[in-house]
Formats: sequence, structure tokens, C-alpha cells
Amino acid sequence: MNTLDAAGMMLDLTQIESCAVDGYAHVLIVSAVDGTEAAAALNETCTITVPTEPGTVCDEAPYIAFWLSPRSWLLRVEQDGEAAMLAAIRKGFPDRRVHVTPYSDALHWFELSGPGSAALLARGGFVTLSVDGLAVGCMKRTLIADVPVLIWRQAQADWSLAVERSRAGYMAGWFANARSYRLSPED
Amino acid sequence: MSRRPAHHRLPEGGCIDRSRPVRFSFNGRQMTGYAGDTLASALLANGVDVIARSFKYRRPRGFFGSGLEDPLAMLAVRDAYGYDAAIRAAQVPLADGMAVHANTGWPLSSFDVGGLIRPFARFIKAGFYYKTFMWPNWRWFEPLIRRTTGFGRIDAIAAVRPAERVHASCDVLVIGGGTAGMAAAHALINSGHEVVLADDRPRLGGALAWTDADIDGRTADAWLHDRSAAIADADNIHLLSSTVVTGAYEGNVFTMLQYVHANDGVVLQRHWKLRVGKVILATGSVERPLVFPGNDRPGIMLASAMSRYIREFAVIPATRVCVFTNNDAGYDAAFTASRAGIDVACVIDTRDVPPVRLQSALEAEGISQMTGSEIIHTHGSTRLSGITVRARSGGAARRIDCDGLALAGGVSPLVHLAAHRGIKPVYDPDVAAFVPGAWPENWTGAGDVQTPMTPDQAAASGVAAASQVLGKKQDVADAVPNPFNIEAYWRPPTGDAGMMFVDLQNDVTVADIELAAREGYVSVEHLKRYTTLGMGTDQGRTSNINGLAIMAGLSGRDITEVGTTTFRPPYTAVPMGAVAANRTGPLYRAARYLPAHDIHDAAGAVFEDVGWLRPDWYRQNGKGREAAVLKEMAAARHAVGLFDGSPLGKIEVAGPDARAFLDLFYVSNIMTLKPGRIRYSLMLHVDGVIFDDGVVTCIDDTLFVVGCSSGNADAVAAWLERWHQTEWPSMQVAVAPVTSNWASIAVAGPRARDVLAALNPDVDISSTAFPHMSFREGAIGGMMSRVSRVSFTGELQYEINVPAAQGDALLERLMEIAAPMGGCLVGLEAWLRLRLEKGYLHVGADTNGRTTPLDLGMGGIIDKKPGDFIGRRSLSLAYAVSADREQLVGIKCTAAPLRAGGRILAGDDTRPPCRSEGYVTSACFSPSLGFHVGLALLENGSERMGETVRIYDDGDIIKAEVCRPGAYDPDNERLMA
Repeated sequence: MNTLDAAGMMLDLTQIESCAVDGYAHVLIVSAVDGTEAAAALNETCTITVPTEPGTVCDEAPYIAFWLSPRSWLLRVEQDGEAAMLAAIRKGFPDRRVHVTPYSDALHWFELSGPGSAALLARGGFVTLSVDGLAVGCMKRTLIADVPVLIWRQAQADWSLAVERSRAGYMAGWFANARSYRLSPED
Repeated sequence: MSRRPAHHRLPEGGCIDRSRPVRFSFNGRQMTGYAGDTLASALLANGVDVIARSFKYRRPRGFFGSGLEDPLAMLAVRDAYGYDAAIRAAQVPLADGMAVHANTGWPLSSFDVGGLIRPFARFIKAGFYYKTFMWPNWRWFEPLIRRTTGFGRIDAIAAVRPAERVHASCDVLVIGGGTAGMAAAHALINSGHEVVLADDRPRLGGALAWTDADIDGRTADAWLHDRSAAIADADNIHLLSSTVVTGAYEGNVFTMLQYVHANDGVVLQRHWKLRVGKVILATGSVERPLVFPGNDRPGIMLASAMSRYIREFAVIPATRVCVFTNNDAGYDAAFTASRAGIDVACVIDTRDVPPVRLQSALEAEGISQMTGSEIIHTHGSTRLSGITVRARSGGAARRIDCDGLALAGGVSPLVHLAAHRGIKPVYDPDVAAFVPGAWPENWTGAGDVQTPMTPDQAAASGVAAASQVLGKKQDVADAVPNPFNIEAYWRPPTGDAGMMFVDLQNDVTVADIELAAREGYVSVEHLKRYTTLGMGTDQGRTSNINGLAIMAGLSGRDITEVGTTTFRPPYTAVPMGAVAANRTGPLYRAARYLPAHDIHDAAGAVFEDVGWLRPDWYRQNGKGREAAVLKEMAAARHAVGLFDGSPLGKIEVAGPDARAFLDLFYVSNIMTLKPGRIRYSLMLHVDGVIFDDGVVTCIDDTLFVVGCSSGNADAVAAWLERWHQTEWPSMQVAVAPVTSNWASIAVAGPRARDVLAALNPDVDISSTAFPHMSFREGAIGGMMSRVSRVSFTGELQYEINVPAAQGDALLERLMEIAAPMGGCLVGLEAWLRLRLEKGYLHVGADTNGRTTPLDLGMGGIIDKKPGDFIGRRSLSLAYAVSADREQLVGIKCTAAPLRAGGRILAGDDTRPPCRSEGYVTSACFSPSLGFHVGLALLENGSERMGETVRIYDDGDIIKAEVCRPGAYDPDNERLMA
């Protein structure tokens, strides 16, 4: 599906699923030093691999690391692995050159799937910030319906979106409203 | 002079579907058109001559153009899906059941009582309103003037047309589906580029639908058919018909408005934002009229419009027509009309020697011609009945009967979108038009938008533009200069200038431009604003060039010197409903909800949107806002109040240099802040003005939490990052905004410790172990918590922070504990009044864009701080230490209520107008103190304690005493309990 198809023409929006993501915890890692240096130190000290390329995701069991900025990452871990992850990083960096903090409650996650999901997202913002688009497996931070989101494309038509918890209610309402349009076949 | 026949439709031809009649009404009269008609063509085909009254003079006006260039045909239209108060008839595809009304004229556009003003027209020239109605009071006249002007018709029946917003990107955007745009898109088929071809009409082809031309050795029809089919079949070409590109913005982002049509109307408006790699602008041009006395009568229209109505819609716009032209293109209208069986009386050409081939062609059609001539008068009332023509060199005038007149004054390239990106059009005297002097980065032009071209040239130009986009070199034959042999003709040298209309929508005449020139409004921007030239809904597409050319002549300059006005988005009118789309009601803007929103809601919270939806007061606490607020204040003063402070900003600042880093931002000394302690302070801009206030918590030597105001949470985090990245990149600091991860409930009041104790904390909460301005981390009520003992109310107060998902559980538990003690939930209003009794600052309310910490009396704290901080140097400047500065003071009075915003009168003045010495920033009645209290910014306020000032409040004068802020518990005994 190219970006223009995603923009809403002749797509069935009824096939979209949106749901909350349960069973995971998240921690926020912010580096006080250069990001590449921090990434190397994380790997060396805690055997945690975080991506250093913008928009990339590192999926290394038992965690997934999202690139947020040159010096910050979001780590998804199993719920019962949160405390261990926090402790490991804090132990590895007692002077907090690499700072870690709980972030599970900061975000609410939506999952969208189905052939119309890209069209739904295109109603809220630029899923693609360039003509190259958002490749499968990559993520970016952008605005959907004027709400800052972290959007992760897991498959061609499978997306995960993280929004601040306080904005989740609005986002859910927006999804419901955007889905309510039924485009005619002629459109 | 014969009137138009009862049937105004040619027996055959056109792009209409005669097998599908479409019924609609105009001013309540039932009419029939065909599928494929525009509203304008259908009205013309039903014999409608007058569709509007002019703006100032109430003159009858008819159809003047056939597309977005038409300055007149703004009608009110209701279809099955919605209502448009004013929409251009020539851009509206006819739909079943459409109900159309004229917007001007009473009782009818064809018979308007307002027309009685016409004998006084010469007295209401440009600037008349500004000069005349200022005395005694503009407001006396405004309602009447508003009633008699305007282009819209409000309908009592609300109808919101469905609208949605779409965002997309593509490699190439081709704007315009005429000859050049189609040729460009066709050349990009299978190019590997994603291409969007946007055209404002439902059908591709542009002027080819009504122009005789050969392209690539084939007829226009054959070329159009083949290209349309190929484009429709191409996988990489996305055709957006009925789509107007309305704006071009930085980064090659475009806005577009697409109308999705059904048989009975516009089923959906889609507002696009499109991010584009490269752009081919193929918007073509619009024809200009010629200016002469009486050039506004119904029946007079652009030559291209007449051709289009005849060829594309098979409409008979008149029974006997004349053509008035200064170039070859006007002859096409004569030939088109003649070949459709319409009597063409004469072609009047301002040029002395038109091309011989045209003269021969006219002779073959039996059409007479007058060269070197001009129209000096027109005849008729609600419809043109004739014209008077005379040789430009002088001589006898001749009247010619006609009910239609086609005008061809040259063309104006539609460069507006390029101009949105800052490109200034330049005047090309060879073609008497403003053409783009350059293109924005990654843009190229194709076709008429560059310079007037024949269709064959336009097609070649489109292919060349596509080659340029693909990075291929393409040899293109140089465009034939001035292919239509135009000779500029801007106005007749004599005649009634007050009847020579330049801007037909705003009734701007040559006399108005002459007046502007006499009064010194010779700049094109001043001319526009003084006369309203080009300020209508058509944005002056047919009037601007004529107007500024006339001004150039009047001011002895050439047209290049005069220049054009600035074209700004949108390119054409965009309904606000389409821009708003679904952002209405609860989706109006991205609301933020508290973690415990549902509990507040269940408790009867009345929410206020202050960036977050926050409880202002609770219905369960009283009947009406005031009663509830008083109860909530009393609970906090005498028992315990529970306040949801979750939106307060929380930013973790960590790393080896965290302490030194934060010390650079605060006016207080952070270097001495011990682990487990909290300090209140201010953050300044570089000019010393207060940016934010809040508390800094030291968790340990390498981890601090910056607490900032709710509204500044994002801004403070960005401020810290900005300075770290730009000024102090070598400092080892990590900034982590974590506001949304935490729910924060404040427990305030003399029973606050009892409430906390009931949660079985695993930390010692005694006053000595957990004093004011300190911090503890531990399990509270079984939840891992961060607890700060700080106060915004002047009472013993704890702020309990738990992970946001546990916010509702914490609040529920606190409510259960507090209720038997006489406690309750406290809303924002009561909370702010509590702090006002105590005299605490509320940044934003009690500060303005000038307030510094010195104005708050914090000079002592600053003096004691050894280190530097952002804004410190500015506080030493003379401006910052002037005795005349407004300083924050307390005020109190017993007689009358104080209100925020009241102005403090200067000196002995008792009534305005007089100088003001300051104003009340916050005020309320204090139940605890028994009088009204407030804060005010007052000149030299710190030296005026005890002084009585007069406050002007909406007509009343209130006397109040200046005092130190914080009359409640001045010794802080309750705070420290």
C-alpha cells in the first residue's frame, strides 16, 4: 500500500482494531552523556542494546528498545521484569550518567491493524514525514489528531501507538469518530 | 432588440448528459438542468440573467466568468448534505434537489429596492465609510451597513456538511489538469514516482473542453480522450478531481480541498495536507476583462466564459453577441458563438491592425469587424441591450444592438501558489501580464502559468516539466513570444470613470482609483486597502492587473514599478467546516484527562479546560459554585481538603552535573539543597522576567525533581534541554519529563497528617521527622509513593505522588478516610482562593510579561546567591531596579468586593480617564479573614504599605488598603504544624 492509498481512498475502515496493550512495563532511559557513548556503555555494563539510528527499534528479547532521541530510549519489558531492569541500570550507572525511570504509567498504547488502519492514521496526521515513508519495523514521534504519539509500524498494516496517558481518552474518542465515516465506493 | 429565447440550450453538443435531467430551484422557482452542468451553466440555460446586486451601488449583475475567476456569482446553496452561505456558482456541480438563493437584492436580485441608492452613487466613492460615518458614532450606522452588504445568507437550519482531514505525501504534485498538467502527468506514467494530479474541476482538460486546437497533430478531443484514459489507468498517478490546491507552505506542504460529489450534492469535503517532493505548477491563467463605461451589465462576460458555456455546456448565453478584444484570443469566442448558430454582430478590436488571417476568418463567418475601436457606452437595465462604439482616433459613435458581450483583455497567469512561497511575479510588457520571475526550490512551471501559450505549446511545456522532474534533459522549442498578439489596453482615455468598473465584486471604479491617486494612496498595498480593490472573495483575479495598470498610468510610473499585492493562502475560499472537520464537541481540541477523572466526574466535578480538564468545583459540595467553593475552602482550613494536582509538571534532572546545572536556572541557591529537602524558587528568562515558579526536590546528589506549573510543564522541559544542548553541552545532565507517569493528590488542612497516618506509611511522618519543605519516598497505602511536604494553601499539606494507574485508587482511599473528618474534594477555584488568602504567587495571574523577582521582593534571596543564573545580569540593569516599577503587594478592603483587573488610579484622580498606577491581579473574599483580599501590581508598591488607593472596577470606585501579601497565618504556625 503506498502513502496515497493510505490517505483514504477506497478503503474499508471497518476492519480496524484498536485496543489497549496489557502485560508490558516500560522504562525511560535518558543519557547525561553522548548517546552513542551511552549506548555502548549500556551494552557493556548491562548487556542492553539500544538503537542509535533515528526511527529504529531494537527487538532483542526480553525487551524492545525504541529510539526516542539521540540521548533517550524507551524500553518495553515484561511486567514482572520492570524492577529488575530498573535495578540493573541503576546499579550499572550509580552516578546516573545513564538515568532510568519508571514509565509504564506515562503512556497508553493503542494497536491498530487491518487494511484501513493507515487510512485512519492519515486522517490524523502525516504517518510519513518524508516520501520514503515509515518502513515496517520502524517508529517515529509525530502528531496524530494534534496529539504527540510514538508510532511503531510492526507490519504492513499493524501499528502500535503510544500516547500520554492523559490524552488517551481523547485519542480513543478521535479513533471512534474517524472510523465512523463510511466512504462510498465511488470515492 | 430581441430577448433570449425561451430555451437557452443548444439542441446538441456539450459535455452534459441529456439523458439525466437534474431538478433544482432558484429563489423558489423550479428549474431543470442536466448532469454535467455547473450551477452557473444551469441557471444560464434557464434564462437567469441577474443573480446578484453589486456591493455598494446595488447594480444588477450576471454571470461574468465560468470558474473560480467569476467575481459575481456567489450564491447560497443547500444540497442533501449541507449548506453553503456563499459559494461560487460556476464551481458547483449541479445536484438533484439543490435549493439556491441569491444573496443580494430585496425582495429579489432582479428587482432590488436597494437600487434606489444608485442616483447617489457618485457620493459614495472609495473611503466614503471611513470619512462619513465616524461622526457622531460608527456604531449607529454599522448595523444598517452590515445588513445591506455582505455576500452570504445565514440559514436558520443548521447543516454541517461531513468533512474529514487527510494527510499524505507523494513524490510529485502536478497542480492543474489542463493541457500542460495532463501532458506532465502523462509523461510521468511508470516513472517510478508517486504522482498526484490535482484539478479543481470534475473533468480533466481545462480549456481544451471549449477550445479548437491541434496537439501533437491530433484534435483536442482525441488528445484529451487518450491522455485521460492513460492517466486513469496509471498505477502511479493519483488523480484528485474537484480538488483545489488552496495553499503552499514551507517544506513543500500543500493544503487542498476536495469535494466528493454524489448525485444530490457534496457528500464529503476532504481537507488534505500533502507533503511533496517536487511540484509542477500548471494552473494556467484567467482571462481579464476590458475596462470601459458600463462594463458591468448582465450579459457581459469574459470571452473564455462565453466559449465555455457554449461548447462545454451547450448553453446559449445570448442571442446576439459582440466581442470586445485587444488580442487574438477574443476571436475564438466570436467563432464559437457563430458556429453554434448565435448571431455575432461585431468584433470590436482595440488594435489598428489585427492579423489578416483573423479578418479573413471573420469574413468567412459573415461577422463584421471594427478595428482600432473601443466601447464608450453600454445600454440596458437588467440586461445588456446594446453598446456604443467609436474609433479610438475619434469620429462618429455607432450603436450596435446586442444582448451579449464577450470581453478579451489578455490573460493573467495564476501564479498565486508560487507567490505563497515568496515568489514575486514580474511584469512582462510583451504579453501585458505578470509572470513568475523564478520558481521556489523543487518547483517548475508548465503551460500558461509561465506565459500565454497555445495548447500545442502548453503540452510541450508539460512534457518538458516532467523531464525536468525526472532529471532528464529535454530540448523544448522556445515559446512563441506573445502568441495572441496582445496590445495592452487598460482604459478609455475619456468617458465616465465612475461607470468604468475595475473590481466588479466590490464596486471599485476607475474614479475610485483616480481618487486614491489624488489622495496619495499610490502604493499598490494602499490602493488595495483604500479602495478594497481585489479584497473580495475572488481575490481580484480579474481586477488586480487592470487596477494597478490604471494606477501606474495615473501616477506616471510603469507597471513594474507599481508591482502586485501579496498573494496569501488560501488560494480560494475554504469553508471553515472543512478545516475543522470532526474537531467539534468533545473533539474540539485534544483534551487531557486526570488519572482519576472518572472519580471526579462521579463526585459531581464541574470541569474547566485549562489545558487539562480539571475540577473547578464539585456539585456534591454545595448548591451552586459559590456555596461549594466556600465549603471546600472551609474543609481545607478546618479539617482536610483533597486536591488533584496531577498536571503539575514533574521533570527528573539527573547526572553528575545535575545540581550545578539546575543552579543555573533558579534564583535560589540549589547548591546547598540537601537530599530529602525541597526549595521553592523562580526560573527567569534572559531578560530577568519570571518564566515559571515551582519547587526543586533533591532526591540525592545526582537526582532532582523539578516541579513546575501545569501550563509550563512542556515548556520548562524544553527550556532545560535547549540550554543544555546549546550552551552547556559538556555538562553531564539527563532531563526526563515524567509528569504523565504520576498521579499527584494534595492533602491539605489541620487533619492532613491524620489522613496520611491512616494510610499506614512506612516512613515517619511526624513533624520533626518530616518537616515542611521535605521529601520522602516509601509505601503509602500499599503503593510506592513519593511524598512532598509543601504547601500552596498555607495549611499543613502533603502531596502524594503514585504511579498514574493507581491515582484513582489513592483518591478513593483518601476520600474514604477524609470524609469522617469533615474533609472533601477541593476544586481549582477554592484552591486558588486558599493560596490568595495566604498571599502566594500564581505565575501568569499575578505576573505579567514584565515582572521580575525584584518586583516580588526577592532581592534578598538573589543577593545571597553566589552563583550565576539565567537572567541575573538583566536584574542589575537600571530598568529592573527603577523605583517606578510595578511591585506585587497585597490589598484588602471591607466595603466592596475586589475583582481582578481593576485599575488602580494615580494620585488624586477619582475618575478615569486618568493615569493608572497598577492593577489588581487576583482577588476574592476571604472567609477566614472576613474581608476582601487581593494581590496587585502597583508602582513602587513596596514603599506604599498602609496607603489607601482607589480602584476603578467597571464603573465603580473601590477604596482599598495596600498591605503585605499573606494576611492569613502570618507567622506560618499552621504551615509548620
